[in-house]
Amino acid sequence: MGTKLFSLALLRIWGQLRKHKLIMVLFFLGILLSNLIFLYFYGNFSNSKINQASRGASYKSFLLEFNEPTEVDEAAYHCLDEFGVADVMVAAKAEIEEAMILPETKSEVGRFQVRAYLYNRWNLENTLPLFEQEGETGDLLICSKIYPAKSVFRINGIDFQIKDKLDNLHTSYFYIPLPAFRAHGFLATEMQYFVSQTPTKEEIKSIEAILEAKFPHTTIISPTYNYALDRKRDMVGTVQNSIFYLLSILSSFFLFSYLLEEGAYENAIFLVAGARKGTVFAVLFLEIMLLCGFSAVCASLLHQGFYTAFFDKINAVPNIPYYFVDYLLAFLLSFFLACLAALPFLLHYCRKTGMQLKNKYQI
Amino acid sequence: MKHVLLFLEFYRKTIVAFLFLFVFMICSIFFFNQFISRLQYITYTTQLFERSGLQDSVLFMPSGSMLEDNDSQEALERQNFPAVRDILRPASFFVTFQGVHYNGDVCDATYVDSFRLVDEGQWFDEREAPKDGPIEVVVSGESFGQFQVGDSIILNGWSADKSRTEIEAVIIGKKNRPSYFLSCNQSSDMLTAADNFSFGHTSILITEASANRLLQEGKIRIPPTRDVNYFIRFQEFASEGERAQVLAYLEENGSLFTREQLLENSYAQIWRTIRLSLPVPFLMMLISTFSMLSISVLAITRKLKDIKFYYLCGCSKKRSYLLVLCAIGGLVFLAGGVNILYVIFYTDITNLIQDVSMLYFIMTDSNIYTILLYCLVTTVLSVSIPFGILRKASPIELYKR
Repeated sequence: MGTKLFSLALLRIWGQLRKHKLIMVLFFLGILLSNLIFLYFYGNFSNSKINQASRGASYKSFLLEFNEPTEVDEAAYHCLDEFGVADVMVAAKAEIEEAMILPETKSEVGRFQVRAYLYNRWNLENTLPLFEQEGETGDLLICSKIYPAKSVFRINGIDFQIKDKLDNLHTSYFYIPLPAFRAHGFLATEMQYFVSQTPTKEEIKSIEAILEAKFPHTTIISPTYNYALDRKRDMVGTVQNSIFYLLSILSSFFLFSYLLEEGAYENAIFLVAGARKGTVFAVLFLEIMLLCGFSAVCASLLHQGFYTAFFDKINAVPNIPYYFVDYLLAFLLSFFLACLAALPFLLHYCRKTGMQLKNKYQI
Repeated sequence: MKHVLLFLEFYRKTIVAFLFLFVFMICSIFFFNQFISRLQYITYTTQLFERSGLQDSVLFMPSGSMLEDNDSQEALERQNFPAVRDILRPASFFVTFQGVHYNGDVCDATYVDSFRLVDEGQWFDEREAPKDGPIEVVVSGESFGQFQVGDSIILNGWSADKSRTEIEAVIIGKKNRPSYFLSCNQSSDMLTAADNFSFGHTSILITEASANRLLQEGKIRIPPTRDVNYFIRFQEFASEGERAQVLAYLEENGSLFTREQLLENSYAQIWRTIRLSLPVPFLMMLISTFSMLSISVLAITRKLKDIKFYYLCGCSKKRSYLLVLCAIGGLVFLAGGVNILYVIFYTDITNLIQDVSMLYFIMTDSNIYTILLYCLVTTVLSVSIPFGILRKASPIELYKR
């Protein structure tokens, strides 16, 4: 039965292609274009994809929020060394002098932090070390560009000499060398480990277990949490993308409805020959499934084939990774949506009874 | 009437598709138009800044105690740096005109020297300022539409005892849309030129000398409020050492952007806007163009039977082409027309809605030309295949069919 339906659907496509070449070509190109746009937005509306593209630290970091300010011992910095730690950040609450609170940072009072890094980097992207010499010991400070370059900045009652002011630094964070952090006995409120490579699920579990054992009274925000958060945000992107896709394929389905009307004579013959209405509907549905599926596959192949040469260049963020599983998901989703969009057209068409069609064509 | 009916008849068999497409096309042109307008604002302010007299200058953002005391400019001037040529610091006070509040934007000598913000009449430096009598103003906005350059107007201010005062003014220049005046109140570590301008239609420009005169005459209560940040221009022949001395002082007391940094950030903002905001409207327009082409082919395929009768009734082939062109082009241009109306009445819409974010979009004739161009291209593309179908289907062949 299945093979019969399949061959009937293929025969119909072949017949339509011969009789209505132009309409079929436009229909196919319309669906293909919509699928390419769907693939574009699949990557560009997705937080997780963009995070992967920008090699964001959120998938490589483990943030510990201490319930109480805690003194961090030397061993704690190295407890994840086997996983290839790129850096470890330790943060303490910072009280800064009144005169240095700017109008722009007034809302940040209470959230100021003094931060220090084990290997002297302030994020994974920056290849330049935060302080010129590793292990710099002086009471030096680096802050956002918006702060005045006064020679001295008093934090937690200690005078730090401003060494540099950088662009793109968070205005609530002040960076000091780790030896200074330790020497002044700052108690950590947060600690963050950055691993060099994005950890696998198993590695994340192992790291979480080590951290839970080492710091029992902390909240751990691991990549698992960030993945979940991004997935939630991605849902919104997927809904937007789906709406856009449905709108874009709708005009192609007006062409399809014309093809349905043109094939009505054939359907009337099927019905006269004893086919059930459901079977005719199944053939038509299979026809649209085949056409949409084929164009979705073509779109995926085109996208993959010209990704470096063209599609990556028009991405909002360069290097958005598209894997086989992405193409598969995009294919399934677009295929499902296209079938969903085709249903009203098919149902509208199938309202006509066999007798009506028979009378219309005087069979 | 016959032609109108024939024209409407064209849509009858594909009315749902055409209606859907019409709405979709209005939306896609609208989003594209918004994108162009935003981009125009960013490029306009970037060019305005680039062409200003602030060639060799830095934007200083005081912070810490300097900001608290609000005398950072005086403190800087007291240093008597030989490299500092002058300072441009916008200031403003409140005035009303015909019951509407305006900012009296005060232009100091450097402002006057660096910008020329008039489209009609003269700028302040092109004439000698009067020592008495009415003050000279440059105006902008629809409220001054009926006034000509040289007309006298009465502005209202407030005296120290909070009573209303009358300020006689004469319009020496007018700034038409786009109208954006310098405003240095934003601080960030990624400032762009666009951040240093504010919407001009809520402002009246006057010179610093006029503002001082109003203050002396008691026509305004308090000295104009100066912007937080300001530009510092360097002497042309200042040595590197002298400049470094000023920069070190400024770094000590706040943060600064050189002209080059501001322009670099502005160009980056332009590219960021294109990269992030263009894809959605562009792809929407691409879809609507392709959809128009598809639906036009569908409509003409369905219409061939009717055209056969038109030929029988004596309709020429030329007329049938014209009918198709008018029907397809009419719909496209109608969708474009809705958006052109939006561009034309944008000012009234912004006045009605009073959404501040809407002020930072520039709608000019170029928006209308872009929409018209898009409509033209879409029409040409959309009729190309239907014309091909009509050409192949000669009257004789249609009768045969």
